[in-house]
Amino acid sequence: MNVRDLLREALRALEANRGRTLLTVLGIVIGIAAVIAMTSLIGGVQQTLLSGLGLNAARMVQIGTSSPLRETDIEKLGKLVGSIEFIEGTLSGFGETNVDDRQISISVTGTSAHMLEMTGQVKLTEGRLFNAQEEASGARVAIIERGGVKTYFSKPDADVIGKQVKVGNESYTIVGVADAASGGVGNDSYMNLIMPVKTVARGLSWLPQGSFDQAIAFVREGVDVETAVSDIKGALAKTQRVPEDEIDDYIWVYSMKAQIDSLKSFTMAFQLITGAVAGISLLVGGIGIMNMMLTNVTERIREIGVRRALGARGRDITRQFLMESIAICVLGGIIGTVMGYLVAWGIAIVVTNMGLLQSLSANGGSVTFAPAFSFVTVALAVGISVAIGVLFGFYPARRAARLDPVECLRYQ
Amino acid sequence: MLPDILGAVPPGPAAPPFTGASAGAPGLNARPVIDIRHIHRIFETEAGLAHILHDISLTVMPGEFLAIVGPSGSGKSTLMNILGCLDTPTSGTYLLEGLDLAQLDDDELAEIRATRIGFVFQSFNLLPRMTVLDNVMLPLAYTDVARADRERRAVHALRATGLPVDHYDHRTNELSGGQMQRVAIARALVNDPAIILADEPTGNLDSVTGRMVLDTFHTLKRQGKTIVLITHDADVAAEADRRVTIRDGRLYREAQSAPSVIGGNQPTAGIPIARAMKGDAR
Repeated sequence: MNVRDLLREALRALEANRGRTLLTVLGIVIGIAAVIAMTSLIGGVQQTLLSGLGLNAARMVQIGTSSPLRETDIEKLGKLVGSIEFIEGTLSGFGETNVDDRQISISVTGTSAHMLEMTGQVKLTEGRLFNAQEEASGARVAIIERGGVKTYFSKPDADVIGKQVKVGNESYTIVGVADAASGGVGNDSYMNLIMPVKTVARGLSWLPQGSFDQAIAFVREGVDVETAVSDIKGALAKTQRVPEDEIDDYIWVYSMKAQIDSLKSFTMAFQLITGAVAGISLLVGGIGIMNMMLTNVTERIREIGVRRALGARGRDITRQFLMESIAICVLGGIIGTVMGYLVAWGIAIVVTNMGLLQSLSANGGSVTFAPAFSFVTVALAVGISVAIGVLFGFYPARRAARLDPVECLRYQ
Repeated sequence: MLPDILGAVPPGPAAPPFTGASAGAPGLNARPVIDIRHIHRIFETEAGLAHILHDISLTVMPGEFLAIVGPSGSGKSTLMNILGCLDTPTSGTYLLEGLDLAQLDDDELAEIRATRIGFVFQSFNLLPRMTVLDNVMLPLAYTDVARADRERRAVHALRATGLPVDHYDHRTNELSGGQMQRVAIARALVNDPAIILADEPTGNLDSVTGRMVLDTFHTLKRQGKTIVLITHDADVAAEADRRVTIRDGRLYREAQSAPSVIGGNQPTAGIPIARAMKGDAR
């Protein structure tokens, strides 16, 4: 009997017991849907976290020393380490202001427009980044984070471009509004601003002019980041005359790749664990299939006898019943995959709206995330379905094939 | 020694059991379709060994219509299962169209059933979720006959049984008993088998539809088909050319309408299964 005939017979047999088939399919649907929902949600969280790290996070290196980095140190590093494509210092500052009798603490990040573009951590929703003239002159301009708009202006959707925001005694003109990922959360008493480095250096930072909290470097495409990290450490040790055995006490160079790798391995492990837990429901579904197929075999003993009398070999009977269990599983796998993604989307929407993943953001911003869709996962789900069909269908099918045709024909 | 199943032997219990070779009909050199010799069938049961068939020998010639008559528990179903390659004898030889079935494995026996034997059962044994046409095509699904050809052959077989064409797409549970048995006969014919084995084919039918089924067998017989009919009903058995009685696992000869059996000394060498299936032995 060829595969087409087997499939036709299998579908006909399953259709004849529609109610029982649907219940059995439901077991597989729930199992596959659980696996798909769990893995796609965790995959989605991973993607969200990775995108929060920025566009070029995999080749980004953060560099700091126990004493503030000077502009000359950074320039030397760029020249000494050939694998560095771009390096720039960043500066952080702090200030306070009073708005409507509320005291607001303001954290300020000093960086350049180019650095913001490279990291991709700032997603402008309104306005623009700083221009070259503003950066060169240290103009009093700022990019405000959406949460900060609410903090400072009391309305999250206020039109703030061109308006002034006060930090300490100085006012700064808002040129852009960024989405959550860059600036951290805002609440009633705290907000973030991004300004050109020179602007921060003029009165918002405690560091002397020409010094930086840290430098951020991007290594060239294709370069091994860990090698670059080691080269940067060596070069810094040389320029700052740090003894080799004390490098780790004075210099820290941190690659985002390591963070990404550990994030990936963590989510992978989490995915496996939750997948395994969800897989238990698949196991239950599989046992349901075996139960149904054993009932089918018992109910169709006479049919088995007739088929054997008409020329079916033992393996024809095995294939016939195996095809039925595989058909159930593939059907359940397809429906379960669709259901799993739908459930994952539903959960993602709820989680996003409730802001439940905010704390998982790389830098504290609110998080929008979608379940990760992967053809590999879909193929895996269908593969698992077929495997379950074969695994749990084989015993009943084999049992059917081993029945004595004479006994089968005598069966009432 | 093969049993003599020819000649005018009084029917009934008085007839002696067959134990020897049959005397063949002189001048007939055709090879028997069925040639069984000294067959025993012993089952192991919890109560011990059950000797169901005792030294059965029987020859059936091409185109013959034979009835095996016996009461319930006589061993006729066991004999039919052996004739239909569903069971194997404990000892003895079974040659089907000259092919020694003892040499075949399970798969080869299944192939024989698919291609050389047509079964007609008392309870029809049609698959209710299938249409008439699908039921008749079913044996061909276990052969390498292409689907298009299967349908053509199924229609041909159904026509031979006289079932109206508008019933071909009906489900079998929508048919009357007589119609179902005609479908079962068509299913038995579809592979153009060497032999049709009918087990109480009229047992579940009223006399009118039973008559129609028997008429179908007569038609098939006229077309040259070999038919072995197993029944407990003497009236039904009387329709056959020749009758043998089975009682307590022993075969007794009865009257036949025409001397058409040759016995015993046929060639026992098997012919290749493929040749046999292609009708080389017919």
